[in-house]
Amino acid sequence: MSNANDTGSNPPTNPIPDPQSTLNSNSISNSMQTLFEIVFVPNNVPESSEDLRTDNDCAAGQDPFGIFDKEVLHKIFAHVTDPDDLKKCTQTCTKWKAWIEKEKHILLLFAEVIGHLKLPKNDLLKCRQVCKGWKKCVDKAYEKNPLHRSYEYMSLSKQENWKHDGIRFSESGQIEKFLDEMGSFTDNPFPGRCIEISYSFTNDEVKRPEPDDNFWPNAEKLLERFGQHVWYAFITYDCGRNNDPFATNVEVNLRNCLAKLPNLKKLYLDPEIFSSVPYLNIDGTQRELGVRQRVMNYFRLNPLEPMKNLETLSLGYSSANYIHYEMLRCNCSTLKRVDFGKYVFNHGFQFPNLEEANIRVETLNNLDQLDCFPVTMKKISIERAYRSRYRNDNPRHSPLSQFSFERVFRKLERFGKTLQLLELDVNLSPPPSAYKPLLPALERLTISVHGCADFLLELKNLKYLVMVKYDSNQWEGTRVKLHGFGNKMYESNIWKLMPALETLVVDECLESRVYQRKNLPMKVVERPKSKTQCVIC
Amino acid sequence: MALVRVISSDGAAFLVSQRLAKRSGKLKTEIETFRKSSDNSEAQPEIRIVTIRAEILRLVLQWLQQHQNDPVLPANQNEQDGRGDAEMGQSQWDRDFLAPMDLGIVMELILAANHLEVKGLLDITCKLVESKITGRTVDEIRTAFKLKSDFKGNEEEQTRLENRWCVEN
Repeated sequence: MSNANDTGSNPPTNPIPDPQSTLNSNSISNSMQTLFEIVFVPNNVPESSEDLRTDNDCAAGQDPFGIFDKEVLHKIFAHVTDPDDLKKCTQTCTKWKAWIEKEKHILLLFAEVIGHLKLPKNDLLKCRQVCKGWKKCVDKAYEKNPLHRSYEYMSLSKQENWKHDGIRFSESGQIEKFLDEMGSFTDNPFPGRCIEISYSFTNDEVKRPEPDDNFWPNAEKLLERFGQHVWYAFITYDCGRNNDPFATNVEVNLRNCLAKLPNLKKLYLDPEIFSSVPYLNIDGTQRELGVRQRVMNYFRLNPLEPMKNLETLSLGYSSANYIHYEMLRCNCSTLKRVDFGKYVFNHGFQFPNLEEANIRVETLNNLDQLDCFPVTMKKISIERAYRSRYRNDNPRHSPLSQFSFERVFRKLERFGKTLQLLELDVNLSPPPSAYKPLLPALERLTISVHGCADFLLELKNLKYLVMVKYDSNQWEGTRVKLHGFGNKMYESNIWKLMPALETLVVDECLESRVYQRKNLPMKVVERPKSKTQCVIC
Repeated sequence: MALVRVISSDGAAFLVSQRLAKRSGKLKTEIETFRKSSDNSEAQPEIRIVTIRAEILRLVLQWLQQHQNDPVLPANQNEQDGRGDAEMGQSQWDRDFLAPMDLGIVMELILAANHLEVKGLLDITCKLVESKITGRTVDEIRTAFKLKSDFKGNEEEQTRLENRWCVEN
């Protein structure tokens, strides 16, 4: 008999008893005999963890903890509520293992099971109140997989502004109340370690008659006290087009807040600053010529400190400004995921650890941003940029230019070995029929194709294809024959020509239709065999 | 009938038909790996599952036996969490199967179903545990899971306040 073990541990060496007697001795119901046969159960299989207590390596005299009775163990382990610590304790000796697995069985299991449960947020929070151990389990699960992380399997451009489920602070009074309620508490008060600090001089939610003078001082107090616990922060700053005196402090406020978030892993930073509006100086006496120039001067004198744990950064959708530049400058060496938002990046910093990026392009030259990325990029999303006063109903405001299909793909080929996801939301020229893109690792592609789509057949590993604004007339001359929608799509030869393809999404104006290979009917319309088809299949 | 020997963490060996074993994604992969590496096509694979004890492995196999003719749930049914819709697969037999079980056993089944890649069992066991939490009070959850509060001083009140700031209305 050969082994296909999933570990290297040795099989039991006990003699194999009679299967029938084994069945009886282990209380396996007789009905089980028809299901499968138990051929061997060693006699020393513990019925419960109690049996493990007699293990020699933990005998009293050798084990310093052997002198403890149950009551003492209860008292000791009452202080160990972290499931990870308990798990480590189970590895110390069989006596502790048996005791912990008996007494803390549910806690250890809950720590592992919680990741599989689909619980509404409020129910998940309620579990924090059950006991200390469950609170730690929930917090760890929540920190590891908060709501905003669920968007991360999508590309950055589709993450809907990185929705989050942390506490949102938008008024000074609210921050004061929070600090008051937390009393002298110093531990992490943020389930999921996520917060939003959102200042808006005027917005739809808060119609402020006057600026909220205490907002930023209170925000600083909040972060001074609890900022070290925050891993995910969403900071938005909209000083409006009014003459908001706080705009004079925007750079100071942001710098002070960021300095109090030393453990930040992910930051959504969206500071809207208008350069055309005159602002008061800090002392309120003078008007500055332009806030952008002032912000730049400030950061030149007071550069931001690098945030050593920051891996993910989104620059939001505010107009590009020097705060964006400064964030990228000081963190370019650690960032792994960046949504550049409206910021067209052309300063030449290198991002050695970048894996995922969302960039916007207005002209082909903007694609030079890709030169600053390492060849090991895994996900790239390229969006078209619009004029600042873009209007949907104005034909003159159509996407600025058509990008050469070949030049875009040639630019991407340097990532060919690792690039798995590519989203192209730009107006591409028809692909040249002879062009073969060199992106062998590509698994997911979102693209709008006008013209011959045979280049798709070169993407041998493509599993997930989204065709944006699909129009069959625009695929003229393509070998792939898409017969239509609904069940007819399964009769299309795309499933044969692209054997790795698992999911096909046809995105029309108002809806997306998803077709998956697993639903492919048994009866597939056969195409007459051609030389080309034989090669591909 | 081709058989496979599946051995639990505590050494119990189960002789299972390969057809039944292949209902588990993990066992299917192991059998196929064994077939590729074995010179003898008649050799019986032996698979050791070091994370699942006999009592739990027996229950998983019992569930697989009952559902051996069900369609296999696709692995990517739900891209975000990999789980399907438990309601679709739950039968009266499933309810009777789970009803007498202690919640600790159900949670062990969740971990076993996840390890062995048995989607249907994972779904119904998760659903059962979720039902013991969703819509229940904190005390009811403690009772269901046989837990006691070990918060001291104002720790529980502090936790309640933290939740209040985060709760969805």
